[in-house]
Amino acid sequence: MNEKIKYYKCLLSFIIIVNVVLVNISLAVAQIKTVTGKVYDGQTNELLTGVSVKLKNSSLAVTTGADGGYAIKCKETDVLVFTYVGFEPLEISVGKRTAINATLKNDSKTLNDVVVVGYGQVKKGDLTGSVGVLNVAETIEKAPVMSLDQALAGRIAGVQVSASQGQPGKEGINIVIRGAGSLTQSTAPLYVVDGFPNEYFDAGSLNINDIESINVLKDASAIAIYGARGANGVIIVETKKGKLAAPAVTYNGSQGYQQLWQRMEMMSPYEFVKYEIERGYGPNYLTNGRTLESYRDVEGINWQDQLFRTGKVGIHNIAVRGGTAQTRYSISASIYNNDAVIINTGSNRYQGRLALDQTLSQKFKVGVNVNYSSNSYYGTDASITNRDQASVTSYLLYNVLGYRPVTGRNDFTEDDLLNNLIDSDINTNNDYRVNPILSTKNEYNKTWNNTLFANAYLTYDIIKGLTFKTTGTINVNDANREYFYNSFTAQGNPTNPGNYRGQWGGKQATDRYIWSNENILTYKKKFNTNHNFDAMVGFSSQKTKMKTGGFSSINVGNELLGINGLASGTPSTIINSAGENTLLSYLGRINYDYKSKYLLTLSARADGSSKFSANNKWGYFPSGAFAWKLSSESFMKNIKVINDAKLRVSYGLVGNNRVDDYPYQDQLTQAVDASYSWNNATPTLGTFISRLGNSDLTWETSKQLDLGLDLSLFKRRIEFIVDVYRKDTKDLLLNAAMPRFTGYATAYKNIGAIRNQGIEITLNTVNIKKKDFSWETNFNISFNRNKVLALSGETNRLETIQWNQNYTNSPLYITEVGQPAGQFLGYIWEGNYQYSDFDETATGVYLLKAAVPTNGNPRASIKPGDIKYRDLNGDGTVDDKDRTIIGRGTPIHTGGLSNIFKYKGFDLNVFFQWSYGNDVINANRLMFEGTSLNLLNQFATYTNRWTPENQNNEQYRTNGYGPSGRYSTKVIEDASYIRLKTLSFGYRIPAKYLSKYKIKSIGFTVAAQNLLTITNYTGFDPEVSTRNSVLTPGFDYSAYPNARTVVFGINATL
Amino acid sequence: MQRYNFFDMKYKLICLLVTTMVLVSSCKKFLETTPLSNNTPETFYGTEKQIMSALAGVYDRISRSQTYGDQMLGRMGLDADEAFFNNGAVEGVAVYNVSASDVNIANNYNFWYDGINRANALLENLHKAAMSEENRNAVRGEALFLRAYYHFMLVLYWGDVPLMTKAVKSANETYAERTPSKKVYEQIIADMTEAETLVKTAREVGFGGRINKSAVRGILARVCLQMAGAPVNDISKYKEARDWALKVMLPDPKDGFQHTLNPSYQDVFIKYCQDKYDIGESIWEAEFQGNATDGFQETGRVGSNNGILYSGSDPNYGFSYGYLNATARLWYLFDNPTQLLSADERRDWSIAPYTTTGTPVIETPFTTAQLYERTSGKWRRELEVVSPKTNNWGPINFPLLRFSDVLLMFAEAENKVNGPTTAAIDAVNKVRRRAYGKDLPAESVRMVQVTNGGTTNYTSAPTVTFTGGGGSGAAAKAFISAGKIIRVKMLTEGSGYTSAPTITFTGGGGAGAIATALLSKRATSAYELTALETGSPEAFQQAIEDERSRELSFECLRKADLIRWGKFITNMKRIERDMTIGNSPIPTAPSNLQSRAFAFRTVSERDLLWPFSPTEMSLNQGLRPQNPGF
Repeated sequence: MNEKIKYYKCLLSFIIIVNVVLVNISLAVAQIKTVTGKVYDGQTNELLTGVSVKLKNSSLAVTTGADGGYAIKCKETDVLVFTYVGFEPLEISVGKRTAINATLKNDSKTLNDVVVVGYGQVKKGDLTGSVGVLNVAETIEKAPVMSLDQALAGRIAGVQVSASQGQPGKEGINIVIRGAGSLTQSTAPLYVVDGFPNEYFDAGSLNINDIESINVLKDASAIAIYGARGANGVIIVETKKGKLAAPAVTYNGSQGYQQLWQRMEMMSPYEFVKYEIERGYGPNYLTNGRTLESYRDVEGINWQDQLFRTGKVGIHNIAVRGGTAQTRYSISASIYNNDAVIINTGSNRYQGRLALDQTLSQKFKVGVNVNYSSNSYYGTDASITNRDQASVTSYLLYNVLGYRPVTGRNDFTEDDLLNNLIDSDINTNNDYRVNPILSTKNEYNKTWNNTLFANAYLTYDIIKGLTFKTTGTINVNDANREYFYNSFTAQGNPTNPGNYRGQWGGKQATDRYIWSNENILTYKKKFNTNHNFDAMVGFSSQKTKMKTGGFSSINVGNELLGINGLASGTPSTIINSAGENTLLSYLGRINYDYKSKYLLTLSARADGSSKFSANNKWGYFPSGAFAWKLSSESFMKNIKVINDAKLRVSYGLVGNNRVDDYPYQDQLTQAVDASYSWNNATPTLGTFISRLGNSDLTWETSKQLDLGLDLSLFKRRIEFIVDVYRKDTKDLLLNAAMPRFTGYATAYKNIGAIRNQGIEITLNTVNIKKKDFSWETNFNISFNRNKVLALSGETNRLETIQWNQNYTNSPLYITEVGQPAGQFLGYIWEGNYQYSDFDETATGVYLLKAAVPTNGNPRASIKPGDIKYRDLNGDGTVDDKDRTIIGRGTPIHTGGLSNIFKYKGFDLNVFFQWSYGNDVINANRLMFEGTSLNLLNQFATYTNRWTPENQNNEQYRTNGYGPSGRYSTKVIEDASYIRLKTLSFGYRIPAKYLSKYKIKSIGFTVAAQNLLTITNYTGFDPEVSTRNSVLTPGFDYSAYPNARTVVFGINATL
Repeated sequence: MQRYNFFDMKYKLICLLVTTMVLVSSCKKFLETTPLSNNTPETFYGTEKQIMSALAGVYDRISRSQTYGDQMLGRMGLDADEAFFNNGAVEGVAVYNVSASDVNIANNYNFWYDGINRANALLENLHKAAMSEENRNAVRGEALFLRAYYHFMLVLYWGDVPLMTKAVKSANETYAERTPSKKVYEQIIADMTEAETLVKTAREVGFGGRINKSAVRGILARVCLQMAGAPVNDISKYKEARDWALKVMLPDPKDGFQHTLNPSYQDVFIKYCQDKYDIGESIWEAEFQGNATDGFQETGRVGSNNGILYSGSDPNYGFSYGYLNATARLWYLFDNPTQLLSADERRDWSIAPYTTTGTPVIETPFTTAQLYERTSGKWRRELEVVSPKTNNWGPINFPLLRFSDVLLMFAEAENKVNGPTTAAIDAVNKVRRRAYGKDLPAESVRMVQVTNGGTTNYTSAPTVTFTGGGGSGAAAKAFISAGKIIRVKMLTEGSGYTSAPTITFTGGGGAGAIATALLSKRATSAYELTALETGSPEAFQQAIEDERSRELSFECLRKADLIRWGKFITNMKRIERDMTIGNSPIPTAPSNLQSRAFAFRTVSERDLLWPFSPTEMSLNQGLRPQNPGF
C-alpha cells in the first residue's frame, strides 16, 4: 500500500513538473476566409462523402457531406490536405481561390501508409524493422470467428498460428512468432492493444469488427522497445476510433452453421461383434440363439450422431462512429452466440466499446477508450480427463467412439444402452465408462471471463514537434468457473466405486487487476530539408495483481438444485492464492534518415521487474536498425520496373520475464497433500518449501539479427518482402527439472539456449486492375528451424503425457541438444510378424526364430500377426533401448495464400492456409486399433487386421498388440495440411439505389471457415495438439474436432 | 511559438531528465514485492504450531501413495517369496520385470528425498521457534530420525545413494555423488543414535504414530542388522543390533514402560483395522486417517491392496484388489499344512481362508488344495470403522515396527554374537507362544467346516447354534450360495470347549446342512522351537528366518531380509520351481495361476537393487554408475 502511495506521488510530481516547465499556449492570428468545393473519386468520378479536409499544420478540419461538398475557414497561406481511406492524400495550396474541387487518386498501396509500431507510427516506406502488416478489412474481418487470433493463421509470414482443438473457449490458439524461444515458459506474443502492453491478453475480449489495424513486430529492432516482454514478438492492435465525419451507424449481422468435416468410421455392429467374439467375449453376444450372422444387418447405435450436431453461430455488431473537428467518437457493441458441434457445449460473448477523442485546445487532447466484454463458454472438456486419475476410459471422445453399438442381451436392449448411464456388461470396478451422451447432457461446466479495459490519455503539444503523452490504463479480468456433476455424469456416477465425492461441484474465481501508466515525450524535427530526426523517451510503470479462490463441495445432498445446491454438501478442496508483480521501464528511440535514403533506428529499453532479486532487477535491451532505400539512389531512378527497393538490417536484444511472481525467493506451502494425522486426529496441515528460490535468476535474453529486402515493382503491382533472421535465446528462463535428491522437482534457472532461424517471404500482387474488375493475390511462406543449443546439465529432456496409465512409464517427447525441441520418441514399427519369422515346431505351433528379435513379449508367447518393432541395438529384443526419434512436432514451413476478386459490387475472397512437415501422434488409434479393453468398438480400419487369410503388415491380429505402453511410428502421422480457411463472397448494392433511402450501403455476404481440408491425417483434424507446449506438440487424444462454419451475413451503414 | 528557442528547450529537457532521475531513486521500493499467499523461510518457523506443521510435512512422505500408502503395499515386490502379485501384469517392479524408468521406483526415490530435504530444512530453522526445549528436542529427534529412516529406505533399495545432511539452498546444487552404502549407514546410525536421546518415550507418546524412543531403538536394531548382513557385511553391527533390540525389550526403568505382545495375534491386526493403538505391541506405524471425504488426503490402501479380494459393493466390506496371493511355501512354513486349521494361529489370519464375492457378500472358504488362491488376510477392510468405506481410501495404519520383530531381531543378533543362547531362544519362543494362543482362553471354536451344504435349498442364511462341547460363547454366521450353506464364519470364538460343539442350523428355508466345529489346540500344542532347530547357530538362524516369515509376512520386510541373508535369488527361484514343477510337499500352482510364476522366472541378480531413473541420472551427473543390470 505504502509503495503505491509513493508511486502515485512520484508520478504526480512528474506530471506537474512537465506542466509547470512547459506552459503557455500561443495562438496564431491571421486573415480568415471560407473556401468551398467538392471532392471526387479519381477512378469513378463519383462524389466522395466523409473525406477529411484539413489545414496543414493545424488541427482544424472538416469532412465532405453526402453531396461530396465541404466548406472550411482558412487563410491564403494555408494548404488544404485531403485525406480519405483508400486514397492518396492530396495537398492543395489555397492562394486566392475560394472554390477548390479536388480529385483523389484511388490507391491503397502507397508507401505513405502509416504503420503503428511500438510507441509511435512510421510511414510504411520508412520502416527499418520487420513488421507484418495485416489488411484487417480484407482478411480477418471476413472470417466468421469469435476472436482475432482464430483468424490470424496463415496471414503473416513468420507468424505461426495453430489451434489445439475446437473446444469453445478453449481452442488453445497458439501463436508462435519466428519459432519458440522458450522451452518451459509461455511462447505467446505480447499484445499491445491501443498502446497497452498486456502479457495476459485474452483475444476473445476483443471484437474483430472493432479492429482498425493489426501489425506484428518481428525483429529485434521493432520489438526491443518492449524490452523484457518482447522476446516472443509483439502484436499491435489498434481499435477503430471516431472519424471526422457525419455519424455513421453500421450494423453487421450474420447467422451461421457449423459442422464437422468428417466423422470417424467405426466398425459396424457385425464387425464389432466379430471382433468381440475373437477376443473371447462371444458369450455376451451369442445369446438366445444369436449367431454372428444375426448382427449382419443390425444398424446399431451411431454414437457420433448422438454427440455431434449442427452448431449455430449468431453474430451481431453495431457501431456508431463519427466526429467533429473537436470530438471524435466510436461506440460499438456486439453479441456472439455459438452452440457448438458437440451437444451442450458452446460460447457467448457480450461486448461493448467506447472510444472518445477530444481536442481541448490546440495543444491539449484527451481521449478515453473503454472496452467491456463478458465471454463465457460451457460444456464438457473433451480432451481433459473427467476424473482425478489419468484414466483412459474417462475421456469424452474415447467414450463416444468406443461405446459399443449393440448389446447381445434381451434384458438390455439398444434403447437401454442409449438411455442408461451404465452399460450393464461392463465391470464397473475397473471400467469407469459411462454413457457419454447422458453424461455430456448432464454436465454443468461453465466459465465466464469478464474483462474491463479502460485507457485514458492526454497529449500536450509543447512546441512544434515536441509532444508529451501520458496514458493510464486499467485492465480488470474476472474469470469464474462453476461446475456441478450430478449422478448422471461420469464424475458424479454413483456406481463407480472409486467415486468418493458423490455428486459434487465447485466454484473458482481468478481476478486479475493490472494498472499501468506511460509517459512519453516525442520530438520530430527536420534539419536542412535532408535530415529527418525524431526521438522518443518514456517512462512507464505497471502493476499486476492476481487472486485465485475457490472450493469444491462433495457428497451434495440435493443434486436437483445443481450448482445452487452446493451448500448441502461437504466442503472439500479449498483454493486460495494471491500474487503481484511490478514493472518499471525507461525507454527511448531515435529515428534518423538522410533524404529518406539512409534510415537509422536506435532504441533501448530498461526494464525493472519485481520478479528478480535486488541485483538482477534491471534488464537492458538495446537495438539498432539500418535501412537503405536503393530506389532513392540516382542510379536506380532509371530502372522503371522498380518503384521501391529497400535493404534492411537490424540487430538487438529483447527479453522474456514470464516466470512466477516470486521466483527468487524460497516459498513455503501449507498443503493438504503434505499433511499427517497423529493419533487418528484431524490431520495437521504440513508445511514445506514448495518452491526453491533462485536469487541469481535474471532476464532471458534473445539476440536477433534480421536482414530484409522490400521490393515494389511494376507500379507497385508487385510487392515482395523477404526476411532472413537468426534468433538466439540464451539464459533461458527454464523451469528446469531438478535432480530429485534435492527434494525439488523443478526450479527456475537461466539455463539453456535455443536458436531459431528462418526465412520469410511475402508476395503481394495485383494481377488485374480494371475499372470493374480486380484480382489481388497475397502469398506468404515461412520456414523456421528450431535447435536447442544447451540444456541444464542434461543432454536431453524427456516428457511424458499423462493420459493412460499404461503409458505413464513411456516418455513420448525428447528435447535434445542439437535438435529441435519436442520431437517424438518411440519405436519404429515394422508391421507384423509373419509366418516366415517362425519355426513350426508342431502342427499349428509356431516359435519365433532365434534370429528374429522379439517385440518385448516373451518369445514363447509371440504369435504370427503380432506387432513387430525394429530392434535398433540388435540385442534380440525390443525394449527401452530401441527407442529413437520418430517424428517432428514442428512444421517445416507454414503459410497462406489469399486471392481477392472484385467485380463491381461483388467480391470474392479465397484464402488457403497450410502447414507442412509436422507430425501428430494419433493416440486415438492406440485405443481403437486393437487393445486389451473389451466392449470397445474399434475403427473400421481395424477390420483389415492380420488373419491367416489376410496376412498383411497393416494392422496386427486380434490381441496382437504386444507389450503395453509403447508409442511407435504406427500412430505417428504426417499432419501436413492445406485448408480453405476462409472463403467469403460478398455483394454490395450500388450506392445510387440507396441514396434516396438515406442508406449509405448495404451488403450481403456468405462466408465459410475451414470449408475444405486436404490432408493425409486420419484423425478428425490435423490441426490438433491437446497437450500443447513447446516440449509436447502434436498430441491427439479425444480432441474436440475443429468444425467448418458457413455464415450468411448482412451489413449496412446508415 | 517563437517564444521557444532551442536553448530553452534543451534547458527544459534537462530539467525533465533530472526530475526523472530523482523519480528513479524514489521509486525503487516499487519493485520490491513479497509473496502474498506463501511464507518465506524468514517469515515462518517462529512458533511451535508452525514447527509442528513443518514436522507434519516431514512425516507426510511415509504415508503417501508413492510409499507406504499404496505402492509399497504389494505392488513393488517387497514381499519377495511370501507372495506373488496376482494381477496378470508382465511388466513393472511388482513382477520383477523392471525398466530403469519404472515410475513407481522413481517416485519412491523422489519421495524419500523430499522427506529428507524437508527434515533438513526443519532442522536448520528449528532454533527460531519460541517453544520449550523439551518439545524442540523431541522435534529435532523426530526430524533426525526420519531423515535417517528415509536414507535407510534409499540405501536398502538403491545401494550407494547421495547422502543429504543439509537442506538444498540453490538451484545450482544439481550434483551429488553416490555415497558408499557403509557411509550412508554410518550417518543413519549416527542420526538415529542422536535422535534416541531426544525423542519422547513410548509412555509419553502413548501411540504408535509418533516416533518414540522404542521406535528409534527398534529401527536402529533393524538398521544395524541390515548393515551387518549383505551387501555391506559389517558384522561388528550384530552386537549393536542386539544391544538396541535389548533396549526395547528392557527399556530404561525411567522410561516407565514395558513392551509386551498382544496375546492374540489376530487382534494385533484387528486393532489396526479398527483404528486402535497398542503401543505395547505396535511400536511405530504409518498413520492413515479417514476415507478422503473430509477434504484431507491422509488415507492409505492398507487392506485395499493387500486385503482379501473383493470387488462387490456391499457397504460392510471394503473394496480390495487382493494383489498379494500367498505362496504355497509360506503356507507350508506353518504347522498342519494339510488341515484347514493350523495350531499356529497366525496362519489362518495372515493367509485368508476364504474369498469374498457379490453384493451382499458371500464368503467362500478355500479347501486345503487351494493354496495359491489365498490372498493376504492380515488387513480385513470388513473391520474398518470409518464409514463409508471408499474404494481406494481407507484409514488402516500400517505397522513399521512391531515388538515381535524386535524379539526376533534380538534373537538373530544374539545368535550371531553369542550363538543360540537361552535369551535368544526365549525371545523366539515368546513370539511363538503368542502365535499358538497360549495366553488366550482355551479352547475356542476357531473355524467351522461345512461338510454338507444342505439337502433342501436354503433361501436365506439360517441361524447357527453351537451346543455342547463344554464351552460357551461361540457364535457364527452362515453364508449361502445356490441354496447351499457354503461357509460358517466365526463371529466370537467362545471359550472353555473341551470337545467340538454340535452345530445346528435353523430357519433359512432349507435343511440337511451338516457342519463341524474346529477347535483351537492351545492347551495341547507345543510351541517351543525344537532342539534340532536351536541345536546350532546355523539351524537357529534358519528357524529365525522362517519365524520372521510366519510372524511378519506382508509387512514389507521380506525382500530386505532375504537380501541381507544373501538368499534373495535362491529363495525366489525356489518359488518358481514350486509353482511350475512342484517341490514336494509343496504343490504346483493351478493352471490358471501358472503364469504368475513369471515374476520368479524373471527375477535376477540385478533385482537386488532398484535402478535409478534415467531422468535422475541425466540431471545428476554424479549418480553414476547405474546399478548393475539396468
